[in-house]
Amino acid sequence: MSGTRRSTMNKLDVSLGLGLVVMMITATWAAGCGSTDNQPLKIAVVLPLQITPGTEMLNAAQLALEEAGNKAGPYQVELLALDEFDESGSYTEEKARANAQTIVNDPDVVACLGPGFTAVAKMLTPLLNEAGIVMVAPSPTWPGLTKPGFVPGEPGIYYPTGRRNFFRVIPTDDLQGAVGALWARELGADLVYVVDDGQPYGQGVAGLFVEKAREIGLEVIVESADIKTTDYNELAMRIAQTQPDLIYFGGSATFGGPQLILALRNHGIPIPFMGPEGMMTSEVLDQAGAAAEGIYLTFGIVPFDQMGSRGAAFVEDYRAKYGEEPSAHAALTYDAMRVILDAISRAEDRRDRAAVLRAVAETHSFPGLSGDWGFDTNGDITTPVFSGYVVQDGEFVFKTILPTK
Amino acid sequence: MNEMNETRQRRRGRLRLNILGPIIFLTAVTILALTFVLVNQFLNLRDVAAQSQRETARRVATRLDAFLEETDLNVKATADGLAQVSDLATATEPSLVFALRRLLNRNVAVFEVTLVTPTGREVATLRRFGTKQTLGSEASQPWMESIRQGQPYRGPVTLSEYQLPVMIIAQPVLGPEGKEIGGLVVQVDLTTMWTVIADTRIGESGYAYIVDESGYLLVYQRLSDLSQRLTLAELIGSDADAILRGKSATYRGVNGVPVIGVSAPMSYKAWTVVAEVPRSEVYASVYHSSWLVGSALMASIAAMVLAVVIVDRRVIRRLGKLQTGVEMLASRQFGVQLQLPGNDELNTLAVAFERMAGQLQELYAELEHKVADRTRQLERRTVQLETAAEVSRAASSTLNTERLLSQTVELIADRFNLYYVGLFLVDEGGEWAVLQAATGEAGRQMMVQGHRLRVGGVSMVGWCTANAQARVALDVGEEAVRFDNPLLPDTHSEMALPLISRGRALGALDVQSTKEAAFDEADIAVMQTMADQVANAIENARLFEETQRLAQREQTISHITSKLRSAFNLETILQTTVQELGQALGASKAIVCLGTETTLLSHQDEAEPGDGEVKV
Repeated sequence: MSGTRRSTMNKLDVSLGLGLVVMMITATWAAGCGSTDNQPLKIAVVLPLQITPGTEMLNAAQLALEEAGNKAGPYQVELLALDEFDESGSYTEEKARANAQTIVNDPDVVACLGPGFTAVAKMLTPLLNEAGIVMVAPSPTWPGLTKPGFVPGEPGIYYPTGRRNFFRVIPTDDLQGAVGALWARELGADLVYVVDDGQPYGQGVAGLFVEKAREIGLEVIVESADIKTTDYNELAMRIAQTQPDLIYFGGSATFGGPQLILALRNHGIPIPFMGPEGMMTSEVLDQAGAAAEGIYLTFGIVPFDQMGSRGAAFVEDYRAKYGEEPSAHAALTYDAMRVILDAISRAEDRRDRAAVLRAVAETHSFPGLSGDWGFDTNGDITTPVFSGYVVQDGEFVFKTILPTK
Repeated sequence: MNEMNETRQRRRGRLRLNILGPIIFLTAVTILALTFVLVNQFLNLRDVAAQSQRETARRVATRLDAFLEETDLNVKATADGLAQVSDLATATEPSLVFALRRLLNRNVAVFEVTLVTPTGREVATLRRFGTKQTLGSEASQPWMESIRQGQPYRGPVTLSEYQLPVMIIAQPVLGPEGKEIGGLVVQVDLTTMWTVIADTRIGESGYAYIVDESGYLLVYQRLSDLSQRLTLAELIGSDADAILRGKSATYRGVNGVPVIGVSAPMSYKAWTVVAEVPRSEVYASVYHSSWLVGSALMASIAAMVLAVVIVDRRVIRRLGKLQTGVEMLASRQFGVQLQLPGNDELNTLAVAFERMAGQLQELYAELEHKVADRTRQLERRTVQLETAAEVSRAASSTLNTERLLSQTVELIADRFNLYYVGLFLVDEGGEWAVLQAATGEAGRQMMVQGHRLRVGGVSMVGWCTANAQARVALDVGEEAVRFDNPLLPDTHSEMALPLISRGRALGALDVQSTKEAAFDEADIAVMQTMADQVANAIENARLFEETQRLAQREQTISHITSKLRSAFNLETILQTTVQELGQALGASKAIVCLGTETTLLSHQDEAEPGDGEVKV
């Protein structure tokens, strides 16, 4: 009995001692757990991956990351590629919401490159704004995403927190309209006949052209067209009767641009024709054909051969890696990725999304492909650069660098 | 018994207190010291955090004040620039537009600027982006009253049609004569304030917000806060008043978690920048260290408990067992079996103690045995001495030898619990030792039989009387000189002591016991003393009898002599002589013969008188 009792006592002593040791070890182990410092950071890349510009843009983003050694400063970085189109090839609010959830719920994602389209940016920006995730977009040009004065509610509705998180490396359409007006004056126009396509993009660009044109003393005649209802021949005749020095089409190739060009040239009206970036597509060349010869187009990026050594190096590297010529949007995406990597390397806390956002907002004198630039308080680049193109022999031919003021 | 147990428990309690008390005391002191350190750390961290927050809040307030005041200055400078225009209504648009655009270029926060006449008619409007479609009248707007009074206007913060936070600033435009010729109405985009607040980080998770002059939440995490019109009191409760008065406080912050909050006033308007840091962050280092300290405390307590349990179990309880063993030993319970667990000094001590207890038990038993022996001896001596005294008294109090002998043997037999005691006296011829007194039935029979033993014969009494020395047979079977008395078959020890008086043996005291080795030296000495006393008494009695006999003879002689003196003839003399002698001697016949020796011998038979006859 006594022996049993002694044995039990000893076991109890041992148990107490072991319990104490286990408690201390567990506590020490618990204190050392939970570190994620070695996890690579992620940059979400939201682009239209089902179409060519999107894949080229992703290639450019990967090229920029590889050139940085897959690092932002000393920190390892990975890409999280997300398609901004759904399975049907459309951008929808559901798809934007799903992408936003993926981004927000992944604690390693500290920034988002994209999206490619203005419409997707309008859906995605407020969702990521709530999460404080910075976005650097390569191609959305709608000014209302960042600037007030265009559509009521914009841009405040995209920033429910009041803190801007959307930045873009491409100049906005309003500047394109202004650049067009300045170029029109440079071309010697005094009276400009402005036609918009009735779409938000076209109306916006046309309106900004008109504002700038009036500001610089040009006379403008404004008319709105609708591809479904407008008789472009009649429109061409009306334009001809006013004898303008230049016709400015505020719209895209999809909404009547080529039709108006054809109508003008078919009626022998040789008045110079100018359009924005939305007209600088193969549709114009295909549909308008020879009628498109000589038309002026403005574009929010300078050609590679005008970029100096940075542009040349990019083209060379891209060509070496992918075996093809990079597009203008690829160049913009390349810059967007480099801006994000630079911001992460400068952030106080690389894993703090707010810190990365602050670092992006504080970007200035960034050595972009088209020159040094930064972001203004709205999130737009401070020194946008435009190019003037002319269609010659069925091709878009760089003509000049256009001033914005 | 219960009292003893209580005392034991009390003592053990004191021992436990003496041993465990210092451990508990030191642990308690350690815990108190650590707690004191922790509390101090908490207080210091709170003060440091509050100071840091206040500095941040002041910095934010200063930055925003600078932003707003710069805008004000730009607007005022623009208004001053327009003072050279005498009449806004007739001024050319390009010059006005130039002035307004310069304001837009100077200050990125200015979104729209409108020049109005004192009647409220818009003269010119310019906005940073887009085009304001219509120009109209602003006569009914609240800032017009200030313009008319020549006072600047700072409106409330609202959400613009573009859902951006804006504030209307109006500045009167004074003409060359100092008269109000119109006003400059500027819509200022305050997004910068949200950006500054959003970018304000205090520590890891601290934040700031702005409360307006009426106590409404102005700038925080969402633009929609503006339209919700939430007061700080609604958000944080009664601490709002203290915070807005610049004091620091601990409360549940606007985001619902416990925070430490401080504030700093803005100078541009009566707005207040409030900085809050979650308490969990402020105290994180202490929490961390408190976790460590808490672990240390828990470990200390656990170690203390463990130490207490182990010390109690391994030392105190075992000491208690030892104590119990000692107490058992003190109460003469020598069969102590402590059975202490372990194999240490205490265990060794316990084993030694058990061994010592065993030895003590043996020693004590031996002592008890000796004491009992001594006691028995003492009792026996006492009895012997008492008996000797009684014998002495009897010897000194009587001259009756027969009674003395009888009392002596009875006393000795009774007090010494002897089987048999007999007292022999040597007869006058010195040939026999005749039994004079004896105890028991055997003694009575021997007395009747006239039991006697030859002096110097083969008996212990015979040897003793012959040699006037004691003879002791502790085992009668081995005694060569002994008379084997059939009346005393159970005798195993026998002692014959001489009754010596004046150097000669008057007889012997014979004592017999049924036990072997029943007599020791002391017994022999005491009984020899008694024998000596008896011998003296016998001698005295004999002397007394002799004296009396001599006295009687002298008296008889004197009587006869006196009778003879009174006789006058031989016959009478002879007759008197024969008669008196016969009477004195108690003789039944008395004869006086006269003649020679030969004649007398030849006529002896003739002269023999009959009984009671006196013949001369």
